[in-house]
Amino acid sequence: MTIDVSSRDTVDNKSLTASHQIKIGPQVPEPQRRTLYWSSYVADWSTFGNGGRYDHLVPPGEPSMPEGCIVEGVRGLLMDKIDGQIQPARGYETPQVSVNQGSVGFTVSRPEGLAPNSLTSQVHDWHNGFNIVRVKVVYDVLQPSGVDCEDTGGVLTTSP
Amino acid sequence: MPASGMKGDDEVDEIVTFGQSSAATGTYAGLLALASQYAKKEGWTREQLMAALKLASSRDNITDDSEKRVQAIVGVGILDAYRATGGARKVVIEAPNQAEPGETVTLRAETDAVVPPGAAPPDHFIYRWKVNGVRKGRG
Repeated sequence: MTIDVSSRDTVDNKSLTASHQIKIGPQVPEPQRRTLYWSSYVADWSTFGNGGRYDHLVPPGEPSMPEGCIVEGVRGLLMDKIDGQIQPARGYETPQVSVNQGSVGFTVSRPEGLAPNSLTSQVHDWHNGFNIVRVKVVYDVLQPSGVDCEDTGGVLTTSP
Repeated sequence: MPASGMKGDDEVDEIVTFGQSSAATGTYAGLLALASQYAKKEGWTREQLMAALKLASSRDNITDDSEKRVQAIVGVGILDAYRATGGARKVVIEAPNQAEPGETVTLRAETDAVVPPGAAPPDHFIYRWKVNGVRKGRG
C-alpha cells in the first residue's frame, strides 16, 4: 500500500510531498540463531606410543535437523576428562573451527553439497604419542519460527 | 554586500562593498526583526523566539578553507529565515512499514516547520492524503 501526503503552506502556497510504503501481510517472526552441540564426541588416542591424525564424518548415520533448520557453520570443542566427566578442556571453552594445543588439535569443517539441515561434519584431529584428543562438534543454527531444531532424537543438545 | 559609503572625508560613493562580521551584523539584525514579527503574530515569548531561531539554524553548510565541516566556534550556525518565519522545507510520514490485513494503522505527517517548546504547531499547513493514488482525506 502506497501512502502519499502533500502539505500546502497557505501563507505562500508552497507544497511539499512525501511517500511511504506499508507492506500488508501476516507478520513473519524473525528466525532465531541457536548454538547446538553434538551429544557425543570423537576420540582418538595412541595405541603403541605413536602419534596419529584422523578424518571422521560425524555424527554417524547422517542425521538431520527438522526441515527449515539451516546449519550456518560448524565449529568444535576440545574435550577433556575433568573430575571423571567429559567436558570442555580448560582454556578451550569457546567453540572454534580449529585448535592446536601442541600435543593434540583438530579442524572441523562442513562438506560441500549437503542439505542445509544436514548435521554431517568433517572432523580432522591429531594427537602425539602420549595424549588423547576428544572433539565435540558445535552447530551454529538458524531456526525458523515454529520449529525446534534440537528435535533430532537426541543427536543434539543445548549445552556441551 | 553592496552599500553606500564614504569616499574620502566628505564624498559619498555610489557603491562600496563590505563583508564578514560587518555584513553579518546588519543581515542578522534584519533576520531577527523578520522573525520577531512572525513570533509576535504567533504569540511566542522571547524565550520561544530565541529557541525558534536556534531550531531554524544549521551548521551543516559551514566549512573551513579546506572544505572541512566546522562544528566549533560557529554557534548554532546559519539561520534559515524561511523556517524561522513559519516555512517548512520538508514533510515526512510516520507510519509502520508492515501491517496485518484488517489492522488499523496510524499515519502521521509532520513538516520541519519550527515549533519552539510550549508553542502550538503552525495552523497554516493543509495536509492531503492519498492511498494507492486515491484521495482519502485532508486536514
